[in-house]
Amino acid sequence: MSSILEVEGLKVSFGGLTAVNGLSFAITEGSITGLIGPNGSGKTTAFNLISGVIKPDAGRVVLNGRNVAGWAPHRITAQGLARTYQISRVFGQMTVWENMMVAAGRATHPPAERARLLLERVNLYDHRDAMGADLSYGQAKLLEIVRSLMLEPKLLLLDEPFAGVNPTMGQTVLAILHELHAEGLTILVVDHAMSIIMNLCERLLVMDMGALIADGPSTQIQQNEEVIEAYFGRRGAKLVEAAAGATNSDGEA
Amino acid sequence: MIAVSSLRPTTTRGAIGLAVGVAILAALAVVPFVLPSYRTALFVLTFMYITLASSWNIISGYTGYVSFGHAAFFGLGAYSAALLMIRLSVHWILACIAGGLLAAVVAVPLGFILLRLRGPYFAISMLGLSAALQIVASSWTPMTRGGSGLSLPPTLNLVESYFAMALSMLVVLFVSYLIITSRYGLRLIAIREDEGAAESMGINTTAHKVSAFVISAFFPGLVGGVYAWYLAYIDPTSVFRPILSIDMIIMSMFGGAGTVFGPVIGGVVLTAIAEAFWARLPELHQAVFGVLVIIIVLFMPGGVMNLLRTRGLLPRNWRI
Amino acid sequence: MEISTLVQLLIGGLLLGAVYALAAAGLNLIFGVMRVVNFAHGDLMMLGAYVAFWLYTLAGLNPLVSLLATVPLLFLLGWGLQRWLVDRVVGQPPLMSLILLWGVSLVIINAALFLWTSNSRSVPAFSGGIELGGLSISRSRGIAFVAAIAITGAVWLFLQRSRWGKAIRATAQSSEMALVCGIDVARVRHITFGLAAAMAGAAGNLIVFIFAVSPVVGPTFMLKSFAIIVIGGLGSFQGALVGALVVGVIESFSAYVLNSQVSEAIVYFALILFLLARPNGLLGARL
Repeated sequence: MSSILEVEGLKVSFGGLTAVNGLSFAITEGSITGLIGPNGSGKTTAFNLISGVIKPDAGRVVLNGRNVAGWAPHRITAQGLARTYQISRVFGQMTVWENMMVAAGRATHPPAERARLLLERVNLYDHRDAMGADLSYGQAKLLEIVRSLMLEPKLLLLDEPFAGVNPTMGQTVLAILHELHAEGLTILVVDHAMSIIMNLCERLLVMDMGALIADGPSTQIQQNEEVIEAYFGRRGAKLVEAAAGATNSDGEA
Repeated sequence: MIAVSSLRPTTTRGAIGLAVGVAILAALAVVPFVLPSYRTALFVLTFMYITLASSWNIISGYTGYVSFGHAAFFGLGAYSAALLMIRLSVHWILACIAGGLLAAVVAVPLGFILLRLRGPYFAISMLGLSAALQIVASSWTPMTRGGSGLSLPPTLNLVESYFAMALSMLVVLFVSYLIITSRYGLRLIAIREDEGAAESMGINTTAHKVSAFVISAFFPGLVGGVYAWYLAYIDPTSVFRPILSIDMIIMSMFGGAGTVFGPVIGGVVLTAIAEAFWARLPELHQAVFGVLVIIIVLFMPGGVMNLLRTRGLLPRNWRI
Repeated sequence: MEISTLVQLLIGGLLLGAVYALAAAGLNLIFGVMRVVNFAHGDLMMLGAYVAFWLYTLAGLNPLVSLLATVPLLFLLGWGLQRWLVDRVVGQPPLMSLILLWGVSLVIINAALFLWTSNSRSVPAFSGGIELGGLSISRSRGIAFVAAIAITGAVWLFLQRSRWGKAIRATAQSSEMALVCGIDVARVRHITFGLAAAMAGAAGNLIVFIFAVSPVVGPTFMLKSFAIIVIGGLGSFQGALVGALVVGVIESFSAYVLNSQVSEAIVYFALILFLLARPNGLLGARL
């Protein structure tokens, strides 16, 4: 399996703060990976660096064999990358349908057919004439996801797709992601909904203070000391250990 | 059939609209031959303002880059066309087209530079540009004869000016229509709504912004030339004056920026009001427009067209 | 050009710069607290100039004394503008407030034209020069400089030490946090606009005894103030001072070498240059 994305030594600072510090990892084609870490660890900044929203001070972002570090976002998108944002950036003064159409540019299928199929998958086809500004929070999130799929990406970056979403909607999102994964799309997800991410993703990358502190299968990461310390601090880690020891027999934490 | 944009007329409503449009065109075609010249002149002025407002609408209403100094292109076109007619005896139609082209060509590097600035910064930069060009026109005496202005061989041909302005207006409205019903136009709106998200969607925002800016510069340049030819005299104040930029903005905003007919409504209503009430009192004109701007921003920022949309008389995403 | 002319122009520019700094700092304050670009800022300066002019012409009042009238009058005007107009567009994109204040600008300019005609007015209260080390410094510029520095200093102290000053700074940092900490953010905005208007008015009051003012000078002053805070650095109080000195000197030199009109165009190009090359200005925090 080849790497669809390779990040090498990525670094960026704002003012005096180094937000991302020597980040390196590789994503295999067709995989579904989670990127987690405490608040402020640099996850969204990493996404911004990969998708071209911010230019790195140093490092490489190799997408499909090409170094796209520092490229304009639309050129990176043209190379097969799509992303969503923490707060859905749906175009408010356009209808749902128009939102889909504006993303269709290089699509090979007839865009109308593709848009209809995608919208039906998330129950938004009946709402295709609703204005973006009138959608509910959950609907906007779903729209953003299917809109990015209009670009026929090979790699999808999702920034907190489960944040602030009710359990039912969350199930819908989860189901779609599973389907997309099964269809061969490579997915990299950032989120804080630990249980969902652990279930969804085969592999977890853990960031803290701008760098990777752990990388491995989800089950291993749960027990990784450094990760626990990053989230809870050293004292908290001891508490967690003690609690895990006390309740461990059912395998529930 | 699912249309890319549900806005190209394919229904009876569209057919009626087309019929009405043709009737209006026919009526307009006979105006200069039936109405007295002072009334015809009013039409000429209205057509000019509609053209200006419509052009402004392309970069500001559609793309969201609000320009406070679009008179810059009007003045550029006026001076270029005037100089071509005076110095090289170029035929007025060619001179005007050249004026438009020159404004468009200047807009290319200008666009690349200025469109990197966001919102208020772009607005104020355009204002400064217009002011700076006025200063250049006043100071570069060997070329422009400074404050004395340029006099052209007087033709005062009302009929030809009428049709020239009318044609310019129809062309810019048609271009507006083509843009807003195309995917290109949808992408401009995306840029207006959220430029960052548009970039992520694979839209080359720079190319789109600059092209919209260039289109929006051509038509003011064109009618600037016609204005110069018709009046047979221009000076820095008359073609770069801030009130021109103001008029463009108010007409478009009042009628409904971001729609094809918004600038038409605004142009017709406001030119009529201006003529009827205060052609004699320029201070009152500006002051009332100032109050109007305040009212528009506070109570109807989307203009007349948006009122129709929010009342349900037009679909929510109606942009024609 | 002789050294002495050079130095004289430099000093003249710096002196004028201090007055511009006062106005620009006001513009900066509004931007910092509310993300609003006060398009009518120059017109508020113009009004301040006219207050000084009329008090001088009708009552022979020394223009420095008329500051006592200018400051409260313009404060009230600014407070009112915020309270009844700008407040209504605070949540919206900054373009909306820009256009709104531009409407206000139109109304002010034309009301002034109607009331006071388009004639230029000046207050020749301080003429002549002061000799300092072989150089001749214009008295009016010198006095304006001292007054401007004093007022700017007073405002700075207010912002640093007083309760309302701190509330203003807190709101500029984060209006949401300020609200959560119990600061009446709405009142802070009213006071901020009032204060900025008073600063603009004071600057106008000082400018009118340096050179003539007419109802239409507002937009030029606004552009200049805007250039200053961009060059000096948006969001930085000290930046406004630095930017103003730079602009004052540019203006001084180009007015001497070319003419005053062209110097305006030059300031404009400097503005564009900075917006593109160094958007954070010389001392600015962030854009």
